[in-house]
Amino acid sequence: MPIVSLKKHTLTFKLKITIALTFLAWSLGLLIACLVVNLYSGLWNFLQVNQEKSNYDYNIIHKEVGLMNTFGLSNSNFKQNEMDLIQQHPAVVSVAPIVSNQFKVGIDGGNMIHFYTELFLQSVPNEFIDLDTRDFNWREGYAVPIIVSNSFIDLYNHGFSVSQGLPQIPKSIITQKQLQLIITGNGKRLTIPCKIYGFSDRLSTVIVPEEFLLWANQLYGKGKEDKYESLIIQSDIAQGVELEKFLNQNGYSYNKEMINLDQTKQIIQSVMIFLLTISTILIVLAVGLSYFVSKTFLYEKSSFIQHLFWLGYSPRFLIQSFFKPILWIAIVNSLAVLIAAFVINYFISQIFVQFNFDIPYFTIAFLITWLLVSYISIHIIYLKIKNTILKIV
Amino acid sequence: MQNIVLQYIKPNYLSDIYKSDIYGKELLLEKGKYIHIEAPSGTGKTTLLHIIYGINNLYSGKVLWDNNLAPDYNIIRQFHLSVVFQDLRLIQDVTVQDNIVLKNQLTNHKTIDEIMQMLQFLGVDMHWDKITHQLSRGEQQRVAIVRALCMPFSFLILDEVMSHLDEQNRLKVADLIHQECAKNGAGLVMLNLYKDNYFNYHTFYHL
Repeated sequence: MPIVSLKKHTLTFKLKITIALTFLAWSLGLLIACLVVNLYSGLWNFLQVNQEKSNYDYNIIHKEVGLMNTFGLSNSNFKQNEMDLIQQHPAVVSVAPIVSNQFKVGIDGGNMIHFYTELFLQSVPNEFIDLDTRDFNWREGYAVPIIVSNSFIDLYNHGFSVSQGLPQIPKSIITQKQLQLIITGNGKRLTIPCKIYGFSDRLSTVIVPEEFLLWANQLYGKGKEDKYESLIIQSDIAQGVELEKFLNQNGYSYNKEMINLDQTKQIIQSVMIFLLTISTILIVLAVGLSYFVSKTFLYEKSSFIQHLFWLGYSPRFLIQSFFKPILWIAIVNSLAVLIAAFVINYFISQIFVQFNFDIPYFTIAFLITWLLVSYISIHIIYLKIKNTILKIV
Repeated sequence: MQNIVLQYIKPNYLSDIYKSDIYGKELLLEKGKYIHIEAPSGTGKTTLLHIIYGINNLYSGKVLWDNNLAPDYNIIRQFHLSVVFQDLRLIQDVTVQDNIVLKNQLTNHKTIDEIMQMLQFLGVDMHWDKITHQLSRGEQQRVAIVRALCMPFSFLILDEVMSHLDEQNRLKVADLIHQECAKNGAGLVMLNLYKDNYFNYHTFYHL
């Protein structure tokens, strides 16, 4: 005896595709939401770790130079009272002047590095230097230790040496080699040995110990001054935004590329919230859509349902017949998304390995949300089918 | 199921002064007994069928099934009461086969051969795979009758089932229905516009 499967009437191709797409949409929305949460958590941990390494931000500030400076009507120096004002800002931990040389100075590479250039020297208190400064000091009769910006060495090796036909020199060799500083000022000339002490990422200048510059300025320049071209600020990383406002208000220029971690966190947070909102809207729309698809389909089939009822099919049987195929589509579809979620998560965790993705956290979070949303949407569809069929019969 | 008792049933739309052999009175339908109910158009034949079949609740009075006031109508429709509606209620956009099998598979009362024999007897077996709406009204009537016979039943109610059939087909239909009623030991209720003699009725009523 042939059997007429109700499935061919209750589960048309059109319905299969529509239901599959709506379930796919909410599952993808959910996947995006969970990935966003996980990525956010990973990035947050990453930034927290970096923040723990250094709670402070360092900025070198200057006064803007305008036409008034050119005509000598204004100067771009900081005075002591301005330093005190900066020091009082809650974001500022400490502030110090950057002292510059008041004499002509050049550096000679000697026999090995055929190199001579005039340069300028600066000094800052040792606590502002991003190196171990225990041996960064000077006494008369000794070589002057020099800290050079990392970018200078890169510029030399990949720019200057190539254009001038000079050999490229690795950092390890430069630090071994004794160089000569040639100082001229107040009618005197001095050649003094120096050595590269290290390379700084924070300070893009040539740094010598404070005591050496003080000594040299007194002998070859004007001596100690109480006004400075630039200041270095050590600030609380958490209050970066307030500090930035303060600096802008006072017309101080600073390195704007040094966006602190606090701002980075705020930007990431905003992007994540945006993505989370989009994925939530996607889920809500998809769940709503699956509800309306079921409703429309049932109304299309209302005559068929009524005929089956007149033939003797019980409402309970009809509800099950219409609900079961949708349930199966939902289960198959959702399982596919679940597997896809873990595969995607695995690859993301491999790509962003430094973010230290928390796989168990992601798994639990995704599973709980997935089960909850699945249950809610399937239950909504079940209620719709039940109510509509009971209304039809 | 041995009997159905209609106790003073009356559709809500009928006035209290309406005179009838059935509405407002007590009527006993017994298994094995054939009843003819004659009534002109619009006097409530179909309403009576709907009330007994449990798909119209807008009436006063009681319908008792072996003295049971609230039977499971799904069970009644599957095993005890078969009907042929005046408007046939075939599913128009599926095949004749689907229409019949959808009914038969509820109880597996007939084999495919038995169904084909009945269709052949009524001359509609060649339409087995056709979509129902492609059939004429008379052909659809015969399909609806065969479908109604594809279940075990204690009572069979027919609502103007021969209206679009010629005399020869009416006799065949009556013959088939009588055979199936005999096999089931069932009672028959014929609702018709006029008095007919296709069956040996035990009682005649005017609605």
